[in-house]
Amino acid sequence: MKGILPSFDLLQATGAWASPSKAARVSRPDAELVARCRAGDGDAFEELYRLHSPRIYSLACRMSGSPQEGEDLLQEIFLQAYRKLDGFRGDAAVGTWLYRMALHHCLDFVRSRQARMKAVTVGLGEDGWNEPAAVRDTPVARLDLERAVEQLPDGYRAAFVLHDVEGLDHKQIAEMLGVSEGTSRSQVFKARLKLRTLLR
Amino acid sequence: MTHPSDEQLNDFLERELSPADHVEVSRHVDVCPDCALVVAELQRIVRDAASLEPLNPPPHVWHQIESQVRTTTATDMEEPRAAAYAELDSNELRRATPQREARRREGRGQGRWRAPWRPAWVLATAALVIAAFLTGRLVEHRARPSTDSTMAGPRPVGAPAGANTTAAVNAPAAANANVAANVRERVLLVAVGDHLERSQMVLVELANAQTRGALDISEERQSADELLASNRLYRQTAAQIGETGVADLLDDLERVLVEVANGPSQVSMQELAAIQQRIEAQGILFKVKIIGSDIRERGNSTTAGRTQPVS
Repeated sequence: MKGILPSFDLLQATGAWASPSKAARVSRPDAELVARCRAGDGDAFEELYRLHSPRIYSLACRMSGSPQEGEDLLQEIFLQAYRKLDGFRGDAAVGTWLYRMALHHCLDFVRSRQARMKAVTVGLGEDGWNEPAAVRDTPVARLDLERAVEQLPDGYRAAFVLHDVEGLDHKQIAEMLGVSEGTSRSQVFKARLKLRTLLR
Repeated sequence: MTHPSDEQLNDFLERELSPADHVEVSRHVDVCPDCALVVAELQRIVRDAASLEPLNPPPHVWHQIESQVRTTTATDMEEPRAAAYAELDSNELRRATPQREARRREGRGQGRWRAPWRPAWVLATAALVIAAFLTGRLVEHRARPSTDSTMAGPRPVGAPAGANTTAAVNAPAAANANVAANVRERVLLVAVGDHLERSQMVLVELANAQTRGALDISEERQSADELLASNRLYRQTAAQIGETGVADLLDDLERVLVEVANGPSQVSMQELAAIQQRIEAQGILFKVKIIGSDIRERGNSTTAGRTQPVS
């Protein structure tokens, strides 16, 4: 797997995903953009959105398993980012800062939905399958894999997206999801098996 | 070798087997078409997942963010940004760049976005009620400490400072303040109750709508648009005065209202189903009914005494 997928470090090393340790190397355009946003420049905030929204929207759609939820999450994440811009210290690239915020926001969403689903689906089966996405004819053209990922149960989907799509390792995922590395490994494996069935 | 388990094949793919096991599974996969197929399919999933393209959000998401930023900056953002965004509303829109203008035209053409317009009376009523409520609270807070020193009347000769006064004179003042607070709270409760009732009507219309083709929901859309602005004011006020239950409900309600208000006037069967599922999934209609009814009840009983917040 390590040979096939880009690691999180590799992702971070590419431009916007620069690692937090590169604090001093936050690019000048980044700093300027944030400064303009803080000063209330609407164009600057829009530019920030245009630069980073595809990556964050992708994460939100895939983690939530629904384009609609993805849109809501994207909106919430950028509104949260706007409110927290004054707290951005430049320790990381603004893309990394946004990505972390998005990741935590998406995980919170998945956890709270899991709790809600658990409350209403006790006894309906251990998988706790998520309901299929409400709208199939979204404006976004979707690959078969994207559609299949939407149909995964929340736990499997979160681990799969974080590992196989986002390139995080099992240790990072275990910390984020509050599970053991073994559980993370197992959920990714089960997700792949489900996907294999769904894609046939 | 018997067929390795799916888990072993996955570990083989992940290179997490011991060297000896890896070699053994590898040899088996070379000669077993079934296992080779499993490995190939898992490999394909892993490869495809790693190369998924970023998705582009639909244009209306940015418009919604922009609209919310403009709305919220006026109330809960830091002053410089609030001022700058307020400026955006009036000036920026006039000196729109060609790109911005094109985007706006595109948005209008699709019916996904229109410039924020609220009937003045809805906002004015909400703002007036809230302003009256908050001013009343502020005045009440300030009046209380001053009551002891300035409203208690002249100090009897020979009496020690601060020892004069107060019980007899303060009792009616406190009672008056209490009555005033109750009246203000009642006005706010009635306004929020009315707001929830109107929201409920829109939600019921949408929840019960049926169509096989396109359905015109322009009336509901306009109502949602009108309700949105006052909803935000009520939500912020509810949060400010510790009515967390009401604030949470209004927060949930706001999401649905935003979706309807910024959606198209004509919806397809699928789009309508999505809205209905959203309403149903959040239990929003049920909550609006219950809390709305509770609030109206509280509004009626407030004159009899102080009320408890909705939890």
